[in-house]
Amino acid sequence: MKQSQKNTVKASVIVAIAVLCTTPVSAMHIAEGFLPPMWCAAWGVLFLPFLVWGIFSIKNKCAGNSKIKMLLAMSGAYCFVLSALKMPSFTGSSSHPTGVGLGTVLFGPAAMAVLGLIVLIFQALLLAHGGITTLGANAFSMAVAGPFVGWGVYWAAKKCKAPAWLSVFLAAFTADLFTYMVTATQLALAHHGAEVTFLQSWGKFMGIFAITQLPLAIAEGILTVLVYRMVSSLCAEELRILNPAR
Amino acid sequence: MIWMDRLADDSRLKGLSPAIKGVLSMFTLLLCLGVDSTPFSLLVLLIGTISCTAGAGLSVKYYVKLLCIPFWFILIGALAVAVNITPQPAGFFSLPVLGYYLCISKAAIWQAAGLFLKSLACVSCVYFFYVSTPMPQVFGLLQRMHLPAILIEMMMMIYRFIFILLRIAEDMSISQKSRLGNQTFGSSFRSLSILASSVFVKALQKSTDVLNAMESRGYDGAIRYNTGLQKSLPQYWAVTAGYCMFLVLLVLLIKGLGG
Repeated sequence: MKQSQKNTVKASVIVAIAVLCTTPVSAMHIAEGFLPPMWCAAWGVLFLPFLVWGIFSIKNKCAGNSKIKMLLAMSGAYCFVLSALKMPSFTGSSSHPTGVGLGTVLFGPAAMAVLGLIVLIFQALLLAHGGITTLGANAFSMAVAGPFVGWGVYWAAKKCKAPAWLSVFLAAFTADLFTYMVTATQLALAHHGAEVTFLQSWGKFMGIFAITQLPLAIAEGILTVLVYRMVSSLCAEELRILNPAR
Repeated sequence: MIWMDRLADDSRLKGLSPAIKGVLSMFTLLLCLGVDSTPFSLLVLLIGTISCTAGAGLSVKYYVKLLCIPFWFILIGALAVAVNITPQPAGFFSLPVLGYYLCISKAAIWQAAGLFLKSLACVSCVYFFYVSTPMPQVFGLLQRMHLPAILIEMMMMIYRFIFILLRIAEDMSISQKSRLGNQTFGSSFRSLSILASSVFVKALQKSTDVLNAMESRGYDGAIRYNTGLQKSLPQYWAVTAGYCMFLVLLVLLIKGLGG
C-alpha cells in the first residue's frame, strides 16, 4: 500500500470510530461489569451520605403532607420518562436527554439524590441502561455530582442577576458536562494500568465525551430552557411547594 | 419497554422465593466481576442463558432481543478501552493525532474482549433475576431487607407512575408525528420541548387525581400491602448453597489451571 492509501485507510478508521461513538444512547451510564468490585464499592460508599441526607430531607418534607409525596413520586417518574424520550441531535443519531439539569432546577439537589437513584435502578432493570453493580458510580455522577454543580451554577447566576433563561441554560449545561467529566474520571480510574497512565486514560475518555457529548449538552441546555419556561408559568404553585428555595 | 415488564409475570420461576433468585443472581454476578477471567465469564454467560431460557421459560427470541438492548452500548465501551492515547507509537496500529498517537495493542484488545464478555455475562445474571421476578416481589424483598420505608414507597409509586406517563408521552408523540411535528430538525426540537413540558403539566395534574382517589379510599400517608412473599423451603436454600459452592470450586480450578 502506498502512503496515501494508508492514510486513507486510517482516516476511514477515524470516521468509523467517530460515528460509532455517536450511536450509543445516553452513553454516560457505566454499563454492568465495567467497573471492578473495589470501585463499585468505593463509589457506592461515597454516594451513601448523600442518599441518607436526601432521604431525611424528603421525609421531613413529606411529614403529614401526602400531596408533596405524590408530587415527588410523579417528578421521579417524569425524570425516567424524560430520559426515555428521543432527542434530535446534531449528528443525526438519536440520543436521550439526561434530565439532570431540569430535575435540579425544579426539585433541588436533595430530592435529586433520592429520585436519581430510583430512576437509575429502574433504568438498569427496565431499560438495561447502566447496571446494578455500577449503580453507586452512576448515582454519584448523575444524582450527586451533576445536580450539585448545576445547583451551584444556577444559584450563582441568579445572584449575579442573570436572566432566568440564562441561569437555567447554564445550570443544565454545566450539570450535563460535569456528569460526563465524573463518568470519564470513574472509567479512567478503573481502566488504567501498566500500559497507559491515569492521565492518558483520562484524556482518552474525556476526548470521547467532548466530541460526542458537548453538542448534546448544548441541545439539552436549550431544551431545558424551553421546558422550564412553559412549566414555570403553568405550575408555579406546585413548584413552589416542591422546592421553596428555588 | 412495556413488553419487558410482562416477561416476569409469564415466568415459570415466578413462584420461587425472590430471596433465592436474588442470591443466585447476585452471587454469580459478583463472582464473575471479582474473578475477572474470560473462561469464567463465558461460563457465566452460558449459565445465565440457560437459566433465563430453560429455567425461567423465556423464549430464545425474547432473550436475544433483551441482550441486544445493551449490546451496542457494551461494544462501544469496550472499543473505547481498546484504543489508547500515548505520546509514542505503541502496539501494532498507531495513528498520529495532534502530536499524540491513537494506539491499539494486542494486550488492549484482549483486555477489551475480556471486558466485553464479562459485561455481557453480568447482564445475563441480572436478566435472570429480572425475567423471573415481578416488580411487586422485588419491593417485598426490599421491605424484608429493611430498607427505609419512604424509599420503598417512593419506588413503588414511581414504578406505577412511569407507565401512566409513558402512555401519555406515547400518545402525544403519535399525534405530533401525525401532524408532521418532526419534519425538520427545528420543528422536532420544538415538538420535543412541548411534549416534555406537557407531560410535566399532566404529571402534576395526575398526582392530584391520584391523591384524591387514594384519600377517598382511606389513604392516610402509608401504603400497607401484602407482599405475598413465598416462604423459601430449606431444601431450596440447600440447593442454592450447593450451587454457590460449586461455582467457587470452579473458580479455584480455573485459577489453579491459569497458574
